[in-house]
Amino acid sequence: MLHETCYVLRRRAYSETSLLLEMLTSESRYVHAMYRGAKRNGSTPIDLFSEYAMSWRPRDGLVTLRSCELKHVSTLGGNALYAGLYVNELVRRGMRENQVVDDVQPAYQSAVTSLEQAEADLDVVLRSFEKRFLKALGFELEFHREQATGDVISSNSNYLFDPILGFTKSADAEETSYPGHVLLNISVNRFEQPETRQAAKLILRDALYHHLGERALKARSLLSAKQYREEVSGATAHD
Amino acid sequence: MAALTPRIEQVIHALQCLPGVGRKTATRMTLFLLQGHREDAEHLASSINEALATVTSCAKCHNLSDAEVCDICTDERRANGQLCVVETAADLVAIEETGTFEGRYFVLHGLLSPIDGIGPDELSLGTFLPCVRDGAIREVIVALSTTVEGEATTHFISELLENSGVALTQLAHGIPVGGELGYVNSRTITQAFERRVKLDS
Ligand SMILES: [Zn+2]
Repeated sequence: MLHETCYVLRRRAYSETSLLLEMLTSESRYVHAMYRGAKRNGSTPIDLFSEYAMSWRPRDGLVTLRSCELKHVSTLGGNALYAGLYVNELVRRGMRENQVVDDVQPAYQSAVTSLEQAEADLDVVLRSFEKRFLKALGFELEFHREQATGDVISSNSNYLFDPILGFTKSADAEETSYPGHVLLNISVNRFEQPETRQAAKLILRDALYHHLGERALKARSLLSAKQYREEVSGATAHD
Repeated sequence: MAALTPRIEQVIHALQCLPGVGRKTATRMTLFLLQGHREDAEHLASSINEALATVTSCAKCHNLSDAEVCDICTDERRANGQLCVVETAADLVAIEETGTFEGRYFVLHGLLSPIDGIGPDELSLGTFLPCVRDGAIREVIVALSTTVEGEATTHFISELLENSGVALTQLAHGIPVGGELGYVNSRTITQAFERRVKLDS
C-alpha cells in the first residue's frame, strides 16, 4: 500500500457516489484515482488546493483510493483562486498519467503556499512557477546566457527570443527584442519593474505554448476578468 | 446474454445514460417497459420526443423553458429586484420547492473550471450584466457550491458587479440543519465558526 500526501488538480463525477481524481503526489507523480463513495455522507469532501493524506495499491493505470484524509485546508480566495486554477491547468497540460517529473510537487506546493499569503503578488508567483515548471520538464530557459554562443547576457544589449534557440543578441533595439538588464532581472526572479513583468509574461508564454501546445490555457481568460467585464459591458454601456 | 435481442440491448444501453442507472437496473427497466407496460413505454418515448422538440433554454435566465422566455421570467410578481444565481436547473427546482425565494434566477449550467475547458463564455456569463440591468436587480444572491470552482465563480460575479451599485450576497455556509456535529468535516466546522451568528438573549 502506498501512503502519500496529494493535491487534487481535477475531479469529475464518475457515478452518483464516486469521483475520478487527477492528482499530484508527494513524489511528483501525476496519478489518476477513483474515489469510491466520495459523495456519501461522512466522506472527506475533495477540493482543489487542499492537502490530503491518501493511500492506494500502486499499479500502472487508474488506482482506487483506500483511504483519504484532509491534512491542510486551502485558504485561497479572490484573484489567487484564478492564479491557482491556472497553475492546475498548466500542470495537467505538462504531465501525463503516471509520469513522475522531479520537483513539480515542491514547485506546486510552493506556488499554492505563496498564493495563500494575503499580500501575494500573483504575477510574481506565476512567473516563478512557470520558470521552475519548464525547468522540471527539461525545458529550462537560460535568462542569463545566449544559448548558441554561451555568452553572458549583457545588460546594455538587446536580445531576441526563440523558444528553441533561446536568446540571441540583436543588432538594435527592435520592437520584439528584450533589453539585457530585463532578462538578467528575470533570471534572478526580480520582478519589481513593470517592464520586467511584461517581458517575463511574454517570454514564458511563448515557451509554454511551444513546449505544451498552442491551445490557449482557459484560465488565462479568468486572469483578465476585468478585461472580460469591459468587453461584455462595453457592448451595452451606451444606452 | 442470448435472451436479449439487439433491439432490447439498444434500450438497455440507452437507459444507462441516466445518473445512478447501471446495467442491472437498465435491464429491469427495459423488460418492465416492453413486457405489459407498452402504453407507458409509448408515453415515455413521446414525452421525451416532444420535450426535445419544444423545451429550450430561457433567453433571460437560461433555465429550461417551454417558451422563449420562461414562466418565472414573465411573472411580474417575481420582479422584486432579487436575482438568485444557481449552477444547475436542478438547484433552481430545489430552491423553488422550498417556496422561500420570490425573485428571479440566473442559471449558469456549470461553474468556472478552466481545467475542464469551462471559462466565462461557456457559462453564458456574457448575458449576466444585461440580465441584471434589464431586470432592475438590486440584490444578486449567489447560491453556488462552496468548492474552489464555486468560490471562483462567485468571485468572478463579484468582479462583474463591481461599482454597479447592486448588492451581492451569498447563501450561509455551515452545519446542516438536523446534522450532527461529529459527522461534519473540519472545513465546514471552521467556516461555521467564522460565520457564526449572534443569538437574541
Ligand atoms: Zn427565465
